[in-house]
Amino acid sequence: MASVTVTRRQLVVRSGAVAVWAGVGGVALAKRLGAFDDPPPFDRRVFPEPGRSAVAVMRAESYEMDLEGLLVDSLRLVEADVRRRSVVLKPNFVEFLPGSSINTDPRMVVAAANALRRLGASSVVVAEGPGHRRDTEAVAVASGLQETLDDAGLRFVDLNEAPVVRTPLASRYMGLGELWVPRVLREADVVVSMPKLKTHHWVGVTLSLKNCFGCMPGRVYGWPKDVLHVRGIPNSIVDIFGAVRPSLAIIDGIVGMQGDGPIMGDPVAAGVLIVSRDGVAADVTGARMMGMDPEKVGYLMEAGRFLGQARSELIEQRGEDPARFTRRFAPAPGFEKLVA
Amino acid sequence: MWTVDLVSLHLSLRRRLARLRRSDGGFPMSLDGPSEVEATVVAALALNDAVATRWVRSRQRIDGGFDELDRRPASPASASLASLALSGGPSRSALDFVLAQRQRLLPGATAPDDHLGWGWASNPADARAFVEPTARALTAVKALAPENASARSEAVRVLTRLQCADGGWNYGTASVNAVDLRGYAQTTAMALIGLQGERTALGASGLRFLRRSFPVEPGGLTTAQSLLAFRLHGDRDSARAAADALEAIARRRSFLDRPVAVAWAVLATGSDGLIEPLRWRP
Repeated sequence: MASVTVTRRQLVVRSGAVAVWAGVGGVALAKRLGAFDDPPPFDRRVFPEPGRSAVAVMRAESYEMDLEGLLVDSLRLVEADVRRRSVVLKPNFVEFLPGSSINTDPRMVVAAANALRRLGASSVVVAEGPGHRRDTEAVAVASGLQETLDDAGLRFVDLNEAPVVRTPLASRYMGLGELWVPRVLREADVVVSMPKLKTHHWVGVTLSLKNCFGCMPGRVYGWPKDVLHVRGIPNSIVDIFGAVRPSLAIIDGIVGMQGDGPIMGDPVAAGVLIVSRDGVAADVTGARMMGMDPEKVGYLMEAGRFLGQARSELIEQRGEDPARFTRRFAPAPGFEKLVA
Repeated sequence: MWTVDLVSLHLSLRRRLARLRRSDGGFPMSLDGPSEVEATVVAALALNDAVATRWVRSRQRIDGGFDELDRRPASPASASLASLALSGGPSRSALDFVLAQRQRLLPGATAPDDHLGWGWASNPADARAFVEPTARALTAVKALAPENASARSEAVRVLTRLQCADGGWNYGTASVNAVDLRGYAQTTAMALIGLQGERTALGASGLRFLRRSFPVEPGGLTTAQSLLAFRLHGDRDSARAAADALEAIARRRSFLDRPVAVAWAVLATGSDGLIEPLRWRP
């Protein structure tokens, strides 16, 4: 065996190389463990690590059926406790177009209010701040929402005009340190996001997280909430949801919207209701039931770091088997890559 | 000319608006809210009211813009209307502020056809030009600085670019992904108020759109602003139809509880003298 003579200089160089390689390996390992990640753009003390979540999927073929009873059952399935709590329902009335499936059906809104009252809610109001139109009353009247609410004795709050409170953000995606949030949402014990099951031409899918755009007052952020669009829609979605923090999601998927949503798409009879105390888990389930891969919806995965559970293996499906009711929605233009 | 008793309707709406005033002299955006600049400015125009005008002046900053009681900056779009409600130095200061707020259609846009217009937000980094703020600014420039031809023509160019294929205007996006979007009656009415007197096809196509769209968008704000637009354009038949619709709407609680909509309705049903500040006399 030939002997090898190593000079002191060679020893230093080789030792350095070993150190570098060890360092690189250590960095790789540490990186995998998250040791060198930037601080997360949210405050972990405010948003603890999401745990397991339950999502109820219910078959609902028509708005004429006993939606109230179905919602009572589904709220019980996810162990929603609203006893003696004040509730704000936030449906989606971003815009109105006759014959379209843009909006959460008014009958669903009233059924949810009645179900929550039956389960002991101390008060229920309905609130929305349409993103496109300044005349909220025109949207509410033309869509039939106002008459339906009047008949049911439910108060409607226009979030574009309601009093607002400065709300510091515990997440930092938009680069705004605070949002002006309607007081009615801050003071409610329970905010329920009630979106339509829809595709969306800017972010792929619009469900309970995106629905919270309508919580932001137009007189502060403009129409169509343009300040928030400029800051990036995915960024805004997670910050707004973190500020509003709805504690229930009820997704109206009896008739959803496919293709060029959220306004110009086509109705699709999906025949489902999705209910959860975790909006992220509800949206992951909703995306999957539209035939989309939720892991390809960037804002949903980011929200899964701190706003709710996005990992399918940690989402317990209750009620119906979602696979039985999954429909292949046509994706929004440019979002074909989301199709599972 | 009218089939409804417009004077009675005006007085009734005026009484309703007066009841919505806050103890500090201003007007709220909602029944449970504090006085705010937008609501008080429209009420000041509608009531021709010195107390409301004083409240607006008390919220004016040194740069001519306005702050709310909670220190939020009020929208520059409110400043446009404030310039019409105020007089003298405060009015000029408000208009100067508005003129300094011109923003590009897209953030950071540098293309030559990215015209300057006006947006809702006060922070230029966050704002884009939209239809109603641009129309309000155009109205204010015409009334108070008609010699500023560049601001006027720029605003008209923005409204031209943002007009929808159906002849109306929505918030400010005529199409998405090559799909034409619809105009809205409310935004179209505001655009037409700004465009009165312009010798372009814009006004004619906008009026045609508004005549057919306001009856199917049954909101008080929409109907009031449509009535005002028809009056300012001298379209008596359409104004009569809008007044009829407004009389029916004025019985609805969902309208009467909206201070801003009621204030626009007071203005729209007012005398020719009351709407004079918004009229363009070339």
